[in-house]
Amino acid sequence: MKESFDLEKYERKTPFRLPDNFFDDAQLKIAVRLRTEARRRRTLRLTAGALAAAAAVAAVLMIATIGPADMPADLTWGDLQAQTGWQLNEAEQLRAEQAMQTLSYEELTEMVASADYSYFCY
Amino acid sequence: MMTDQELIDLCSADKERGFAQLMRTFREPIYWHIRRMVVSHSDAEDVFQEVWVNVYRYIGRFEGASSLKTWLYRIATNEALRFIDKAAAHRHESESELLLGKLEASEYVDFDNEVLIRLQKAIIGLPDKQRLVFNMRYYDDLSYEEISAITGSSVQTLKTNYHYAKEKIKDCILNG
Repeated sequence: MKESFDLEKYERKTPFRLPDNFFDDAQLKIAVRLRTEARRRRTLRLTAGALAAAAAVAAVLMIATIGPADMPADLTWGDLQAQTGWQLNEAEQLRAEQAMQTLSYEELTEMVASADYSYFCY
Repeated sequence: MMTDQELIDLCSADKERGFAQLMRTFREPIYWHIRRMVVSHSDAEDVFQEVWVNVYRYIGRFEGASSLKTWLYRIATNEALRFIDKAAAHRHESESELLLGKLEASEYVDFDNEVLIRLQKAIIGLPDKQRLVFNMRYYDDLSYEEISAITGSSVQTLKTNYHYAKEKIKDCILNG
């Protein structure tokens, strides 16, 4: 009997079925997910910029309060990077400066207080 | 149907439109490939989503070394295998035990078709490599060369696996 059985002559079907409109619905869900993820990534980038700004303000305050006596009065980003070891490129500096302007003093200090220092060194 | 190059060009010019067209072109074979691997529709839907999200992320890196079809099948195969491994390890079951459980508990299965259910159970009982090559050859009608590009196995190994898979399925169907 085994010899007479030919799998190749079987109808090549599975018992699997699908919900109605599955493919169109799935394509829509994926498009929505991709857009949501893209939006979340943009928000995270902005948050990182804001956190960097917060750290910068905290460093300015700290240096101004307890920094060495020979710190220059007109503190620049270059001085700040030398003091803190941060590696911010020009675009990041610009973003940080812009973000700083959007945050209140309370928001900045609260973010600094609640964040780990190392987080800012991205 | 658009050629691979036309789809790639469209993705480069307008990623969202190109991706939507790519998905419309390949969504059905890719879904069925995943479904045959993971068995349950809800699991297949999850894997299907992950696959297309990865395709969207990495479409810019597609270099045309293989066809788009084999590239997509490779992503889908890897994602489905990862899903099965993880689920089987989580439940301390073999892959066959896991998939048999999925079949029996699944929605969207035609349990009235006893012949197809028996065939499916026989396929699930195969060792994983034989199951994979059997599904791609028997149902998707892929060439051994295409399956080789997807799995990284040699054509000769795939032929041997397919031969043994067919013998085991015959035996399982005829002798229970």
